[in-house]
Amino acid sequence: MILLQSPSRFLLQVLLNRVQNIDKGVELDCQFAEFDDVRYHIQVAMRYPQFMQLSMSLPIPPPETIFFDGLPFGAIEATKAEYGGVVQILDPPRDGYNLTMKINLAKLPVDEEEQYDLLVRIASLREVVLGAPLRLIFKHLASKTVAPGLDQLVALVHRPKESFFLVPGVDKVTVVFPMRFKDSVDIILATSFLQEFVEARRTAGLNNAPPCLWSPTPPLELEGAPSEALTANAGFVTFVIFPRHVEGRKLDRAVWSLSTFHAYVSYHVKCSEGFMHTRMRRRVESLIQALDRAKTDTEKSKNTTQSNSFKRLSLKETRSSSDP
Amino acid sequence: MANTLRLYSTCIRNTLEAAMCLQNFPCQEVERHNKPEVELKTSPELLLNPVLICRNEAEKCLIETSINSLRISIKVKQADELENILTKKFLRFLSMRAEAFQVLRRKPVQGYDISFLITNYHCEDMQKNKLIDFIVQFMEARILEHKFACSILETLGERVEDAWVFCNQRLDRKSLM
Repeated sequence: MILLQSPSRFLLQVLLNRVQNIDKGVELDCQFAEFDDVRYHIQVAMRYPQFMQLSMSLPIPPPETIFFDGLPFGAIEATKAEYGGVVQILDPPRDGYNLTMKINLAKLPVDEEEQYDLLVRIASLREVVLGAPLRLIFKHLASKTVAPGLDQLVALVHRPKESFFLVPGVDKVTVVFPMRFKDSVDIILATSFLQEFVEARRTAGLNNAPPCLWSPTPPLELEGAPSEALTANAGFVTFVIFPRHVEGRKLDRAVWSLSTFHAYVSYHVKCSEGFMHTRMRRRVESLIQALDRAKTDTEKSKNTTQSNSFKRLSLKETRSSSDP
Repeated sequence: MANTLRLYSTCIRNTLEAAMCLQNFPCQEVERHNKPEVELKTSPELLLNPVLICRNEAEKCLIETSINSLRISIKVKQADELENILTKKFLRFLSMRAEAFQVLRRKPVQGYDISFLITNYHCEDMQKNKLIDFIVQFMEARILEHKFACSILETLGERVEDAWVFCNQRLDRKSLM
C-alpha cells in the first residue's frame, strides 16, 4: 500500500525549481488543490524574486470544530516553531485563504542538505497546520500530562464539514473517526474494509500497533458531541493511542497517519473497486470463450464436411483419368 | 454444498437438453415475420409449460419454452450486502456486453437476475451440448462468485496487514534512527 507522503510533491517541485533559478526573476502565480479540499496559492513578484508568498486554504470546518482566526489552535505557533526566521506569517491572510506566509528564499541555509530538508518541511505545511492540535495533544501525552483547557472532547477538522474526535487523557488518547461516504457502494465496501482492518489488527501479531475498534453506533466516548456529528454511514473507528506510540520520532508519523486516515480508507475502497472491475473483465472474457467454443467447433466441422464432399481434382489427375 | 449444487445443475442440464429442440417457425399472425414466440406469446398452442427449478428460496431457475425459442432466467443467491453489490455490478457488466454473448437477454425477466434467450438460429449456429455447457457453467460460476467475493475481502485484509506492518516498520525504523 502507498501511504500518502506528507510533503506535497508539487509544492516541493515548485520550491526546488525556484531556489535553483533564484536569479532569473520570473514571475510566478499558480494555484493548485490537494485531496480533502486543501488549496494552495504560490506567488512570486518579478521585483522581489527572493520572496515567495504561499497561501493555504483549509477545508470548511463543521460547527463543532474550534478555529482561531481561521486556523486550528496551535497552528501559528507550530508554523513559527517549524520554520523559524525563514518564514513570516502575514496577517490578515490573502482573501479566500486561511494562512498566508512569506518565505524569504535568501535566508535559506547554505548547506544543500539542510536546505533540502527545510524545503521538504515547507512542502509539508499541511501536516504542520492541520496536525498542530494533534501534535500538541500527543506531546502532552508523551510527557503524561493533559494540555490545559483540552481535557474533554476535542473536534478536529479533516475533511470539508467533517471532523474527527479526540478524548485526551493522562495515559491515553482516544481518537474516534466517524466514517462517511457518499456512494452507496463505497459505504458497503468501506464497512467491510474497516471490519477486516480491525480483524487484521487482532490476528496479524501487530502488538505494537494502537488498538483499534469498529462499531456501527457511536462509541461512548462521543457523548456530548452534537447530533449531526454522530451520524456516520460506515460506522465509527476508534484508535487508542498510548504514550509509546508517540514517543520521539514516532510522533510525526502518528500525527500524519491519523490526520489522513479517511483518505487512506477511501483510497483502499477505490482500489478494491478497480480490482473488482479487472476481475469482472477477466470473467467476461472467459465466458465469451466458453460461448465461442460452442461456435468454432461447428464451423470447423462444416469445413471438413465440405472438403469431403467435393473432391478437387488436379490437372494431372484429370489427364491420367482421361488417358486410358 | 457442492453436492446439492451438482444436483441442481444436473437437473437444469437435463431440462435444457429436453427443452432445446427448436425449429424454425414463422409468425402465424404477421406475414414474413419470424420472432421468438416465447417473448411475444402470440398463440398459446406454440408455448410449452414453463419449468421452475429451485435450489432454495434465493436460488432458482425458470425455463420457458416455445416452438422456436427458449428463455432461461436465473436468480442467484445474495447472502449479504457485499455479495449483492458484486452480483449487481457483475450482471450489469454482462448485460452491457450482451452483443458479445448473443444469447444473453439485455433485460432480465422480472424477479430474476439474468436471462438468456436462445432461438432456433442460435441452435443452428452452435452445438447444442456446448451451449448447454455454457449455461451450466454460468450457473456454477455462482460458487466461484462467492469465492470471488471472499478473495476480494481476503486481498483487502492482506492489504490492511501490509499497511499495518508497513506502518510499524516505518515507525520502528524511525525510532531506530
